[in-house]
Amino acid sequence: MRHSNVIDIRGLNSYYGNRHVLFDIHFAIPANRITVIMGVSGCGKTTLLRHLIGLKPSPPGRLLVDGEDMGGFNEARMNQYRSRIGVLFQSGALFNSMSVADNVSVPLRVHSKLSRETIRIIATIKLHQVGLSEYCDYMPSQLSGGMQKRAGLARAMAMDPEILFVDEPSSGLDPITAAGLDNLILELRDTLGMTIIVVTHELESALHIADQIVVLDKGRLLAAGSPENIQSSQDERVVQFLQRQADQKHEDTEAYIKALVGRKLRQL
Amino acid sequence: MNFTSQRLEPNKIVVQLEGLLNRWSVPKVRRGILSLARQEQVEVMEMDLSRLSKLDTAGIALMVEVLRTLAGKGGKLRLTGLNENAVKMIRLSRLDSAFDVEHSTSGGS
Amino acid sequence: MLRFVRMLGAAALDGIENLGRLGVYFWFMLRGLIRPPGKFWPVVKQIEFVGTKSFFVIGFTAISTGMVLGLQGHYTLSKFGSESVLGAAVALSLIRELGPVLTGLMVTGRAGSAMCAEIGIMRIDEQIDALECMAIDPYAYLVTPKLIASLIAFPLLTAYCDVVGIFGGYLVGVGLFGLNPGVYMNSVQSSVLWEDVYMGIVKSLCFSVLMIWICTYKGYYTGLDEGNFGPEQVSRATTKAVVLSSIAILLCDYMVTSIMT
Repeated sequence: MRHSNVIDIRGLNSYYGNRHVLFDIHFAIPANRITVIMGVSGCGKTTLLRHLIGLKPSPPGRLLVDGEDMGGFNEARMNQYRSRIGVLFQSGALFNSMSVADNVSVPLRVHSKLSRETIRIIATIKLHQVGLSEYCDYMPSQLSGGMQKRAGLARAMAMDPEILFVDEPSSGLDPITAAGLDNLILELRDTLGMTIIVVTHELESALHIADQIVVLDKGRLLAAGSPENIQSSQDERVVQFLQRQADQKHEDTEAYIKALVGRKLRQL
Repeated sequence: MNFTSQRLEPNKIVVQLEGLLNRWSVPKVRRGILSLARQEQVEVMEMDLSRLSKLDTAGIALMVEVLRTLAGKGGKLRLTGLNENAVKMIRLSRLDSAFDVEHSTSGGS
Repeated sequence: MLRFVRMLGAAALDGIENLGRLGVYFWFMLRGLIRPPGKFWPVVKQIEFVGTKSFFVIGFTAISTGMVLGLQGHYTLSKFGSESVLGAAVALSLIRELGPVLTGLMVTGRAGSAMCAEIGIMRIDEQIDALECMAIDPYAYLVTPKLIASLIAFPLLTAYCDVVGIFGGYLVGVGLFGLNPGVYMNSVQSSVLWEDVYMGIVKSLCFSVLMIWICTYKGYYTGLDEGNFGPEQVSRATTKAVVLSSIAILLCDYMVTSIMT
């Protein structure tokens, strides 16, 4: 079973300047499965994703792709890895100088010798899968936020990637469209055997699509396992997260008072 | 990627595709296959996919182009010998109603 | 006191780091020349943006500058009774100095700021990240076409600026002060040497590289140092880009002039 892991994360620590944002993250992403990374805002989900897609350099030996150390990738090897992945960014990240169909065509135009017509057809097919084939010639600015995100997903799928990374697919979408996206993600796994990593904080959708759920809390791995495992977890924070309780522990009261009253007072 | 063609009737041509039909091989065979479809009198093209090992969206796009060429003169494209992968790809592209697909082979439709 | 020294040190380190990054950026920009994707159409588009769309602004600047040169030159020269060389004075100051500098500054203000904002928006909207994730070199895709385009457009715009400026001087000299048209044109022709034109071309090429380098660099690193990708960072980067590249153009102008004369 070990070989079926596409990505292995072994004790990953991450920093922004002096700020420690990820603490010793340890889990594996199995092939042909949907892994959902969950957690409240600011828990380090997006940072973890940036490591996985190689936008934030990883320390050597901490992140393995097919058993190979991503920290040691040179540029060519990284590009090879990136030609296998598709990424949907939180904002959709469409190029605003070109139409939606041209956006979807960009990776194909750069990386293949396909003719203009063929590329156009592929773009239309991909846009149809996300329900946007009527909007091919619209500019991104003419679309709503949710539509931009779906168009971004179409672009991420343009190269038929083996691994698909999706950052917050359903935030800002109406429930019906969000459910449609969930189904598309399931279909991609079932029909193409894609490995899909979804970052989200939407519990319902996570439980619906996930084969594996990874819960992060304040930069630490709280739990990893099947949705059933997670749901039956006894961990206080996990239960709190699942039951959507507001944070009542006020762990930061001290810091809060300190910030309000000022440091000098404390020293008196 | 290879393909062989056979003209069965004046208006019908059978194309046998072999190997990988993906975004690397489509540019190499596109012109040849399209020119077959453009030939006068050809109205029906039958694509035999039974020896196709892999098909991706670029391959589907090529089929759409062939279909478009044939539809322009009232013809049609018939797909035979689809394996599971091909059936799934076509269904994922929401094109199962566009092609005339022969469902007799394995793969379950 | 200790804090002051520490701040000084931090600032110096920051400066050195920035310089190093600027150098690496320049190398990546050049490396983009030999990397996909294809550049023909992007370059054509950028030439239209840098060149064609700057036509009016530069024409306007050039003709007013030429006319002012005509007025001032006539005033000065008439004190020595040598109005006949007005054409030479106008042409030489334009070709050697004002043409390239004015073109550089105007294009920086018009196109450089827009380029910086364009790339800055792509940065804060994760579009540059998206390019990298598609295994597309963002330098080759975004920056290098702009460099090629402005290397082509700058000398042409400068030449256009020179010609329009000389015509502006002609309007004032001949139209206002009644100089003989033949005398004006003759003094232009006899005084301008190849070296003067050559200097103008060298300057315009230097300025184009400087403008693209600084403006796109500022856009590319929008918000990266601050760790803040808000829209206000784009406007800040754009302002800095225009100011810095204008200063760089003026400094470079002095250096090229002193080396080449």
